[in-house]
Amino acid sequence: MSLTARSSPSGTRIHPSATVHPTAIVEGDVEIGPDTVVGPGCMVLGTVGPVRIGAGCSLVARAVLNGPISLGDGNVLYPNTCLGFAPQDLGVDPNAAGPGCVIGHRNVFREGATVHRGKSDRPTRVGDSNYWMTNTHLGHDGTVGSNCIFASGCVLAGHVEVQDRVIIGGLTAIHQFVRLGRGSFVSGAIGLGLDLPPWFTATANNLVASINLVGLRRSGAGREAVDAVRWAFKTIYRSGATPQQAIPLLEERIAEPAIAECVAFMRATTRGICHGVGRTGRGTAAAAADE
Amino acid sequence: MQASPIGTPRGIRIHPSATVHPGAILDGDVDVGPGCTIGPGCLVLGTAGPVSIGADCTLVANVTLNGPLALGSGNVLYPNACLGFAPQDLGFDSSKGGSGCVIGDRNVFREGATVHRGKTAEPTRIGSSTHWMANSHLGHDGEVSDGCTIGAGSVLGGHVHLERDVTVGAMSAMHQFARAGHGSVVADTAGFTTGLPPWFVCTSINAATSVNLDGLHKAGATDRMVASVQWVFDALYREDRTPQQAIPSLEERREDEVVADYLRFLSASTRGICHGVGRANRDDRANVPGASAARVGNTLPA
Repeated sequence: MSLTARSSPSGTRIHPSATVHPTAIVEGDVEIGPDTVVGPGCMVLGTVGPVRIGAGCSLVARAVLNGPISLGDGNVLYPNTCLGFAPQDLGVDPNAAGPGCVIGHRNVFREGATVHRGKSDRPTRVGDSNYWMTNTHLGHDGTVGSNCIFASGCVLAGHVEVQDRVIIGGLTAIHQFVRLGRGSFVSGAIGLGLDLPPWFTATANNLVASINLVGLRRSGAGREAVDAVRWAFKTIYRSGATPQQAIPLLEERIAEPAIAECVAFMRATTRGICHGVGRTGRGTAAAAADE
Repeated sequence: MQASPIGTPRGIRIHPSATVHPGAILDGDVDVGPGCTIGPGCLVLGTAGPVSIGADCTLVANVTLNGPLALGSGNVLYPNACLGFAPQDLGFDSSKGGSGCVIGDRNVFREGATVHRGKTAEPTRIGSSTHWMANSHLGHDGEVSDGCTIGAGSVLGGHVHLERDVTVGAMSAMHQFARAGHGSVVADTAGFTTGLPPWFVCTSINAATSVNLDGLHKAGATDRMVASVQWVFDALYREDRTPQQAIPSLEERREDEVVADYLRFLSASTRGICHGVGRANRDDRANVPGASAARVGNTLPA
């Protein structure tokens, strides 16, 4: 165990098996778990709120953590990753600690990734085993599930909800309060301001083009589940109905878990559901009239 | 000369004419060439593999270098540039050094630019006189040749190959294994998943829209060469056929070295090439075997 010469010893608890590089700065209320490595140039700032780092984490170099924040086990943070700073919101007092961030286990944050703390009464939450590539961003009060991949440069605004197994392409932007359903896939270099239902694929701004067959198969989904997702897609985007009009049609097969998940997701939308593309339904009444 | 006051002295060789700020950290196997300036807050990490910095490089401040990495001479790196960290690949064991990065001379990496090391036997390669603007990114196993410019925020996926003198605008994206031919231009917020042939301009996703006349003139191309490039563009995109179907008519003019160069580029294509826009052809179905015809562009009214 080596405590940095520059850190304030008050309130820092570093497990004997953890390694802190002599050039790292650990300050304030900080707890570092067993086998965690804090590399050169890192800053762990527990002065505004407490920082808790679990076991086996690696702060490779120059990562910056700002409390209140708790990190689970096995997370890896590359240089210039900054977790826990103030919301990007002009109305927020940047000096208020707020509810902070809660990060799960085995996440990877690549160079320049940023996560902002919550401004509501709940923390910004990230689940387990997510991969945040270079310069990705999660805004304040976001909620991210587990096993997601965020490609380089994609940005998630405040209050975004990302369920499990979502993949987002590079440079894509997600608007405030948008929800991405479980297993959905978003192409690179586009933007979404509407909700994307579970297992659907968005390939252009606010447009659903297909279902995420690869994701379904990787998740171990059986034939019935794939069939149900495909039927939901056709019902929403190929029947000539709008997504909202399609909900009663979907309830015909509500006993199937995939349909029930889709309906529950669509009912909970506040911003609306992505449109369809091509053939009969673009999700508009005009498309229905064409038919 | 001033060696870093902090950090392990193991294997650090600093040329007497180099300047290292006392706030910089050098660790592991590090070689700093003559006339270099390593500014405050820089981290040069030769612990996973050796870092060699050629003559007259400037690491302005807060730059992070991770070995194995070889930088040539005269490179300039601005704060938060990070070169040489592990591939963004879930299957990669990041504790492995891998094949690293090899970077030429006189390149500029602006704030937050990132380059990842190779995961194959070959290193990630950058030539000379390239310019990487703020927050631009090159993924693992990429190859970027001399004279390329990458605009702010643009991201190049793994295995991307840019030939010489390619210009990429701001916030553009290239898919893994995408290729751009020499002298081509990618506009702001554009990008592609396929290949952009030499001297063509890509202005929206996967779409080649014109010829880079400005670039051809600046490169000193003769009128005959410009006419050949324009002819190839028309042959690929202004006839009622796919680019693949145009190859036989290109073959007929193979003795023209400009046309032969396009055939070289097309024959090395694994992901197809950009489609055209407007007029006859907006369909690249024949480029990618088995690809769905249900593309956004094909569903618009004719």
